[in-house]
Amino acid sequence: MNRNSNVYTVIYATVLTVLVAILLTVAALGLAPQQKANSDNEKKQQILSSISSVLGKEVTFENAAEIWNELDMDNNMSVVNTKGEELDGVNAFEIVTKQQFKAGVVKDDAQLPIFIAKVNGKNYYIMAMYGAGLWDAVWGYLSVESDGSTIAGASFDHASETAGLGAKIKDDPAFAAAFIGKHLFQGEEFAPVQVLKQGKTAANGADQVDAITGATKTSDCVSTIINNSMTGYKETLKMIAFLNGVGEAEAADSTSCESDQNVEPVNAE
Amino acid sequence: MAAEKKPGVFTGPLWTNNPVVVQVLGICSALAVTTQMKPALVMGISLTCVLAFANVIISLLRNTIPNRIRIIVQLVVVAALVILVNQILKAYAFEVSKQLSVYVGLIITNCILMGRLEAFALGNKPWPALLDGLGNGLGYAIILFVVATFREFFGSGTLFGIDVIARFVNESGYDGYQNCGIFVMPTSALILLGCIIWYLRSKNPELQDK
Repeated sequence: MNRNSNVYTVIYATVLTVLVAILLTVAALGLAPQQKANSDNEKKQQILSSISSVLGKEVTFENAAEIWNELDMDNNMSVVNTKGEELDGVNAFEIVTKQQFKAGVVKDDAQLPIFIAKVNGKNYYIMAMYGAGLWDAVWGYLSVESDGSTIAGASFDHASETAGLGAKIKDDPAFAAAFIGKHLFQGEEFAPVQVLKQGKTAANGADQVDAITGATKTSDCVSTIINNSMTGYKETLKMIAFLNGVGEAEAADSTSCESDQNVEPVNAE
Repeated sequence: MAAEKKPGVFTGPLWTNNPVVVQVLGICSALAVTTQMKPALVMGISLTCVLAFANVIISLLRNTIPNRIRIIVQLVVVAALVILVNQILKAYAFEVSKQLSVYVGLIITNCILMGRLEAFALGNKPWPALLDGLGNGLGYAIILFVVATFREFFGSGTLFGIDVIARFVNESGYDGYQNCGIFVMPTSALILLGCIIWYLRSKNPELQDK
């Protein structure tokens, strides 16, 4: 057959395309479960990294699933809206945080995931953050203690911040560790921790964390991301503080108030 | 093309006819994935696999490929292999695939691939084509690995993620050590490549421009 004829060329191209398409489809379908498991595992790692200091060990890609199951996280998560109400029928783990934000701000109808880790008899509430970094998206998780204000830890990840500078938000454990013990509220006022250059102080009296030297822009972005993301959780955090305050009083008082616990939006007890 | 002898087909690209430092192909990824040794190694292996398979497949098909669409056929074969490699990495080497991110996808645009397919595989039998693919792939991998070793050691003070310098510094009690920031940047890869080319040419006068 003439290799340069149009018919031959067209048939050749068609056959080749179909063969390649079949091959790739089979490969994609066959490997999909393993790939999904990997990205789920990475998400678990990021979520749990925000309480790594509470856990007392580093959460790695390898041990993330194990810790996740130990803490029974699958049954300790819920979804809230910006009014602090719990939403039913939504799987917190499957929520794509990115879709809950518009132009860096939490949407009015956002569904926000909240994960509750019970470690050493205490509850830690892990919330999702998302926003723009210097070059591309930055996201992470922030955990607070049961007062709804004191930060127990944070974890950050980014799409493409500068290696060695902005990328330190993820690579340098000291950056995330600096958030531990800082607050989201000052008294009754919502004033989340800010990332500021050394020597500066926050105007609203908020706690502060030192910015990364040479990565001022990324640091500013992290500050904004924390503020904007936590604004979405503000009412929920107030509720957590309120309920836990009441809960303690009750525990000292008696073991009653089943009805109260039924309306708890986020406390998994 | 056919004049290339079999022994040189494999060993040539490893050093004196190296695709990166002599033919100056595939520089983009050589700058991008060499900040650490692990991704550099995986990238080298991935490219070697893709290049070897692509060379053999094109060589087997060389008598059937219509001349007018031969570049497209090469592209389809390479693209299919690259997607396969990417999917497999995502499934079985997830963290590495994240570090390599777009660069695995960009194997397809690596000049070494199309260069070898067009220049060698189209005119040679499968066995020499396989050797040529492996040789060029490994030649690329070696250079990447050498550059990544320097960059990781001086830029991050680690080798394969193990804290080498920090450990030494801690033991010696001297705590003023700072990693060299430029080695994290792509600039340093270009400088290192320049040094390798310099060394190579001074050892092999026949490579020098007349």
